[in-house]
Amino acid sequence: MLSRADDLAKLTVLDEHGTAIELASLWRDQPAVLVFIRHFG
Amino acid sequence: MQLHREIDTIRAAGAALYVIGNGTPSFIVGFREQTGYAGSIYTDPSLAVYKAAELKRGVLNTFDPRALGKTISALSRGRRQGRTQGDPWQQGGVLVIAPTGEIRWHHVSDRPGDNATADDIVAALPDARPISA
Repeated sequence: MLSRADDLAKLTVLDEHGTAIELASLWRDQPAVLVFIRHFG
Repeated sequence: MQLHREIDTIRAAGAALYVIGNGTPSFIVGFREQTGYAGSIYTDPSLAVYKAAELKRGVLNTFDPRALGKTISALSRGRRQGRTQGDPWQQGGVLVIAPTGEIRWHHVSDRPGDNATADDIVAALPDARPISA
């Protein structure tokens, strides 16, 4: 079970324009809830 | 109650909610059109984030016998599934992460329909709330 997000923090996701977003920025200012969906399309 | 109908509850508790999918960036537009969701959404086509979040089992377990049974019964009635199979909101998992980097809650959906609820998520949020919340 994961306890720290350190490995995740370095990774990036893409927005709809293809711009890379650093994952750590999502929880820097407030708690973040990441909902991973199974299908996409 | 489906989680996406309770997003306001999570926001009111002081958290930001992000949906993360795994298609190409152009699929984000289609997801918004299909679901009406206007909030933050990103994609992880390499599945690197899914793997680091230890969600691989949940995501790759789509061919659960229970789900397969539904597919077979749908096909036997002459209906074919389109490009999107099932509920577009079907979860692979949920992470709740504090600003300290602590993972407060980690839910892996191990079969379709095994979805986190807003109550689960709000209970996992850190006590400290932003003043603006």
